[in-house]
Amino acid sequence: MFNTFIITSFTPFFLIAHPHVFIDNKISVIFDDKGLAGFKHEWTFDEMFSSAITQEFDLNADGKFDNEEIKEVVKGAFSNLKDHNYFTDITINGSEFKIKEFGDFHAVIDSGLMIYYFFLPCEVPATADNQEVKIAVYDPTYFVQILWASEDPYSFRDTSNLKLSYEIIEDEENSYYYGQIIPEALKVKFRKNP
Amino acid sequence: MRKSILLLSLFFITNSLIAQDNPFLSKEKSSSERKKIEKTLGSPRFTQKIFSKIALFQRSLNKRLSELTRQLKEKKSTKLFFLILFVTFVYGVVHALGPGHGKTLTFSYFLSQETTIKKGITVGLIIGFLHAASALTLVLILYFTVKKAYFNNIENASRAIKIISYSLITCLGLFLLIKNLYQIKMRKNIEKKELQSFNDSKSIIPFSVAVGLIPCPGTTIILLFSLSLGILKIGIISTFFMALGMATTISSAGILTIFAKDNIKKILSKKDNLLSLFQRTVSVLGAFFIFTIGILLLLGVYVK
Repeated sequence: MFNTFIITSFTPFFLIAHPHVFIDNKISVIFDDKGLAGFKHEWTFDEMFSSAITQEFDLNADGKFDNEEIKEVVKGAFSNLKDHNYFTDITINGSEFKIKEFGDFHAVIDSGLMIYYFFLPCEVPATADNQEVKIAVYDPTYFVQILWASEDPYSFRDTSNLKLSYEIIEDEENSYYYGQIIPEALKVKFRKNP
Repeated sequence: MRKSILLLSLFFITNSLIAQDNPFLSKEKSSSERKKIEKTLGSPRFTQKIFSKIALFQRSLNKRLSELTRQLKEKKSTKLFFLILFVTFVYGVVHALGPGHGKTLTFSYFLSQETTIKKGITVGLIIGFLHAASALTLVLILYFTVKKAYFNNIENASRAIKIISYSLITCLGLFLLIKNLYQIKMRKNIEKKELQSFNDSKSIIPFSVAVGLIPCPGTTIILLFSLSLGILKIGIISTFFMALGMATTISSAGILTIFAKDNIKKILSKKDNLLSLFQRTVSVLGAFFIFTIGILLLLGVYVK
């Protein structure tokens, strides 16, 4: 009885948490003639965080990032995400994939919102059997909350010689923040078109 | 009973440990290590459902706040101004419900102390306001000096402040632990009247200050946003209301702890020996938690 009492008294205090930053995420799944090449991310930040970062890195305050400024953005507000696996959790046929590098980083400011574009290489050859790749994007520390964008959250490119299916799943394996939040993962299955 | 408090507090401890750092600047613990922790602390399905709803609510609140602030910059309006203050207050309430922000410590502190609801409110107010004031001070100092690299400078300053704050918390926890153990040793059978011996009202201010010192990242972001719009004054006033919101949440955590404890004591009051056992247990456990949390937090700063 005491247990129930104590637990119900305090439950509200660990149910809710606060992210400080919000990201709308879009993923393009990129294929080439060998199979999967990797994932292209498009992260749109919330207006508050965007303005704070812009203020810091748009040094000439012309409302856009030039090449020099982008280098500083990478140094100051992106490359450290390597330690956080770029907030991206990928599994290939059930086993974890370690992201080694990122490519094609680009940052723009669009109507007050900052957008990051970058590519995460993840090569998985297409074979006669199904390959299953799952990608979930989230920040386990919950400093940032990453949700699917409301329009066209995912797309697939160069899939002409593949047989492909996908689904959005509640990724319970990757539940985070003390198991309180379940990210929505994109699960893609593909094989060679016979 | 003891077990449930222990589990609950363990949750709070681990909860407050990880989440405050800015991932754009700080290091992450290894992912397999993290997943192991997540597995042991799974949440029931319905809380996860509620959680995702609340996450969306916070997001829309954040969006609303930026829209309103931008509108106010374009067109001065009293109605809009008060709406912003209200939204910031709500934002503060929701914001402080998260990790950090001293709820774990507030919970442990009120376990260790025999105290009143009024003091619960005081602690919440000091922590909430200091938490925001600390962020405000940092932003203003940077604004009047270097005028750039806010995030990096704040991250560095926060690190120094955290070390001070966590050291103070550890010392205070140790002090309360020794004091409460000493009280128990002195009186083998604590009478109802003597419950007051677990009260150290002088520790309220040092406790709240130690916990509240750390600058609030949420406040920082709001201030930098208003700074970028060139309406810093409105940002500063909003900060005040956000602090009030956070104070509301933290005070509620304190009041709930006191309330829960009082109720258990009422149930136990028929059996003096049980009451005395309960009293001793929570007073020692609470102080022990403060001490342990302090040490774990300090380790968290250095181990990275």
